[in-house]
Amino acid sequence: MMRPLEPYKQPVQTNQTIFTWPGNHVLMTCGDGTLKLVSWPDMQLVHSVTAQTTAAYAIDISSNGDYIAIGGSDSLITLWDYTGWICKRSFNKMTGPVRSLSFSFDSCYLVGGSDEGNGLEIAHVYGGEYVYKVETNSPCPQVAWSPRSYALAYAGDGGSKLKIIGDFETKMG
Amino acid sequence: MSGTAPPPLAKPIYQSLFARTYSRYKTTIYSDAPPNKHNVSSSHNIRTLAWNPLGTLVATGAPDRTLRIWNPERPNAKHSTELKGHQGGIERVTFHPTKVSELASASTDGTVKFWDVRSKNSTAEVKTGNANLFLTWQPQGNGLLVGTKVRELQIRGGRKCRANAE
Repeated sequence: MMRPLEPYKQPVQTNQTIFTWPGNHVLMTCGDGTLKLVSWPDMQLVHSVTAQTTAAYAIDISSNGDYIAIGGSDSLITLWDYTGWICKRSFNKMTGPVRSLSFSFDSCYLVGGSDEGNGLEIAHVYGGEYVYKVETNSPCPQVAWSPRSYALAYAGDGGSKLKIIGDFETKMG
Repeated sequence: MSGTAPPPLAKPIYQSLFARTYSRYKTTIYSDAPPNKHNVSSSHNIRTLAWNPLGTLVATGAPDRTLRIWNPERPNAKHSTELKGHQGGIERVTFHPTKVSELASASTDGTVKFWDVRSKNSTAEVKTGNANLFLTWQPQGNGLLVGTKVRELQIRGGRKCRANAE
């Protein structure tokens, strides 16, 4: 079922990878600050841009494929249109390194997790503004939105407990 | 996926209404620590978490090797499933993109394990030989990419994939 293919040795450390939705390309953030698009599975370089000045720890792609979000040690979240290769906007409310990123199921909202700073700031992807802050008593490094609703899972209480915010009355809808 | 229809997607919330709607949502806590234990080691902290494709399960992984599957509607730990087998910390968990009960986990023990939540067992394992840092599925489930500490990406593909040259 799962055949291993030859390992692909890289000249620079790859920090994060994510596939594009058609499944034949991979976006990679690298230790030299570049964002690369490679074909899959032959891993041939298609395009490369300088994207980050620091290591990228998190990457996510919106469900409609419009954008990818990248976050790293400088606490900045940048939004990239990877077909036109432009940085569309950035979000700067994070106070510590970005450890995880998650788009909502409808591609419209973005949230990031960090190990510094309390609260989870939710931003509107297309409007560019922050719309809501989930208050927490400690930093939450891991966040993930449900793929079908606005239920948001995160590592709360210093990361020791899974918490999920949701509209539980209507069954997570 | 199974024969029953998947639950419908939630209704979108407009930007101007987001704060008002979201502030009404409730937070549920899922804890597997014994209730009177106060000094849970930080190696038990969640390092990775992921939803399955229908949003009916959440997986968490920790440096102390705990890999746990939760049903969001059942916050009591006794209804969760612990998947045992890794010999090192769990760096990344990710569900199969189209199968609601199957997932893969990457560990510092140099293996990627595939699991079926229903049987609670590891169905397959691949050895990368190095501490694993991240993994990501190809969206149609035709393979996955594993990143390791020695700057290698390893691709596990289906029948159609060719070995790459580098």
